[in-house]
Amino acid sequence: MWLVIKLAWRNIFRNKRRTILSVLAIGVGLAAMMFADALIISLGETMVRSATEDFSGNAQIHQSEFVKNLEVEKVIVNSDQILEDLKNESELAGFTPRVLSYGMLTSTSDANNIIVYGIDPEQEKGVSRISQLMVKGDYLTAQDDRKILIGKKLADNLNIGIGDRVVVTVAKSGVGDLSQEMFRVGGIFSFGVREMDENVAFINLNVAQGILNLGSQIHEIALNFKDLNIPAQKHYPIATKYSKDGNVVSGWNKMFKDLAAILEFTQFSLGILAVILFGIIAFGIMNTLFMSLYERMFEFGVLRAVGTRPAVVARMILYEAFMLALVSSVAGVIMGFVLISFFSKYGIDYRGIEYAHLVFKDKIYPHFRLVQFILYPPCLIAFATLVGIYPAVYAAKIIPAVALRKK
Amino acid sequence: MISNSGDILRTESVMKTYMSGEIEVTALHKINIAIKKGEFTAIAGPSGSGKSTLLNLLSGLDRPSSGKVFIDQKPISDMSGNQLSDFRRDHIGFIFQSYNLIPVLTVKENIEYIMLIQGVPEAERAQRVNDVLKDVGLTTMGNRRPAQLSGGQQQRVAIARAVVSRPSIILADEPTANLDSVTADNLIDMMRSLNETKGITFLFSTHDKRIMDHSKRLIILKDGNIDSDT
Repeated sequence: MWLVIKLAWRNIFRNKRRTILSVLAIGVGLAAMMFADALIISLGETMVRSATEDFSGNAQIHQSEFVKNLEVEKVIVNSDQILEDLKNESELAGFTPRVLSYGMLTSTSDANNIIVYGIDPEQEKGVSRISQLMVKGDYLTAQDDRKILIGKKLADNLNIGIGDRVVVTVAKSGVGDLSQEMFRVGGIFSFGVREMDENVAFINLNVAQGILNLGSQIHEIALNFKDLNIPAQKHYPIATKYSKDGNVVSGWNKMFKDLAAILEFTQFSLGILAVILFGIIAFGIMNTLFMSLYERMFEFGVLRAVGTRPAVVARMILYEAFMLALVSSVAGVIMGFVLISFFSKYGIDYRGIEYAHLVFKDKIYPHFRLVQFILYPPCLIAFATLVGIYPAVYAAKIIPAVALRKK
Repeated sequence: MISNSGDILRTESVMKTYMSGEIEVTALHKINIAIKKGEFTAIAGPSGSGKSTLLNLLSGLDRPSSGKVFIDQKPISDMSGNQLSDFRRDHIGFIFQSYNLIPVLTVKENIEYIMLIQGVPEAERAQRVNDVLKDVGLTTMGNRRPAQLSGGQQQRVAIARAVVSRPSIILADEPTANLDSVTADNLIDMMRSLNETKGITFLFSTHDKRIMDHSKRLIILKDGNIDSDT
């Protein structure tokens, strides 16, 4: 056994140049696989962050019927208790209550359909980045009961600026009567997303509750999680706990179905990439083994002649495949580690580029995952050993007399 | 072990044909031959006369197209691949024209290889390796790789490898073909000595007149037939 292992180990280093080239080729394949994984996972996270962290949050709680057509009456059931309970949720990084309604924003020269949001200026900072996206004027404070924040595009459309007066018209809850309120433009924001910059306005939560006749009731609680992946799971504690009494918790994958589909497709692409790379690696290993086998045909003849059983010859080839893959995996892991480390430090700059209706606001920083180290290298080794079965069987079937004529 | 009374190897009307392109070539025509224990026999003949083919059939490295080869009175056609491997491992030693040592193993490891697959205990292996290295005059070369040895030294290692597993017969295919005359003489003397002192049976395929001269029995093959057996 040990002699066969020793033989296999020495055989793979017999033609050093070929082995080094094979190890590099296989190693680069593995490193590419690890890097693709790191990149795609980080790309997904960056896209989700871009989609959710500007405004929507990673998940939202609504009354289950509310999101269909934003009916003002469909408020969250027991919202006060829920807001109190959420303070104790350790998985959350932040949450904020909101009300929202379709409405009309009228300036002295024009009018525009909008969705008006009532927000808690301080709590909102823990979930969204409105305060950081102001391009003119100032963000809201709790005391600003006549101040409205509008998008840059909306300001352009209505030809208004900081300090100008506008009128917000909404339908009151319950009675359906129109309610009109005058505000002054206190700030102009830019999300870089047309829907937000052209059709959204923010006022203080209590003011919005007043003009909508909601009392202390709210339509939406936006949640940010410490771990982005939690709200994309099918079942997670917060969703289970708060999806009751007619309320529903929706994770980002439900809120942004297109994005979820794209990410799913990206994962699928990673799978295809893995199959292609592993296929290339497999044929690389098979080629190396067969080249080595043909070169040593006479030796196999000698081994068989002196009484080595076919199964032992086959085992030797399998050990060679295993050891080649093992050495290649070590090389690949080192290369992958260096590659991912470099880009995780310096990032890949896609800022400003729009992809799948999202604008990247941060660099993409590929990052390590345990799976890159505990799944891909063992898979490669197992796969390569499996691939070695073909040349191993071929070697085992060598007829000694024929092999001995090959020198 | 093979019984002392019987033939070690025996053939009955052994024929071997093979295809050369689309033409069927007969390498051996109904050969009948028996090798007894203690023989020092040479099979000679011109190139293409069937010497190596006969050696391959006798050792079970190849199977005859017709006829039978008996090893220890058992026809090899009844043996499975593993049984044949085990038989060669335990009863036949090989010496090839081009030495054919395993280049990645040291001299000691090359010699030890067959004993390892025979399952000989480590201490005994070490003792037998040292003894045989002394017999072939390579005591100080045990840790060298074959590439670090001369042709003659490599062939000595090949002889040591063939002898060390204590086979019933050693089949040597042109063992002196690649050696200078002095080295070849030394090797022939060494093999003759092993035959006489240890009773090891040798069967050569050779062109070398010196081996023929030292042989106790000489079989001449011509065009796949036995031309003479003296």
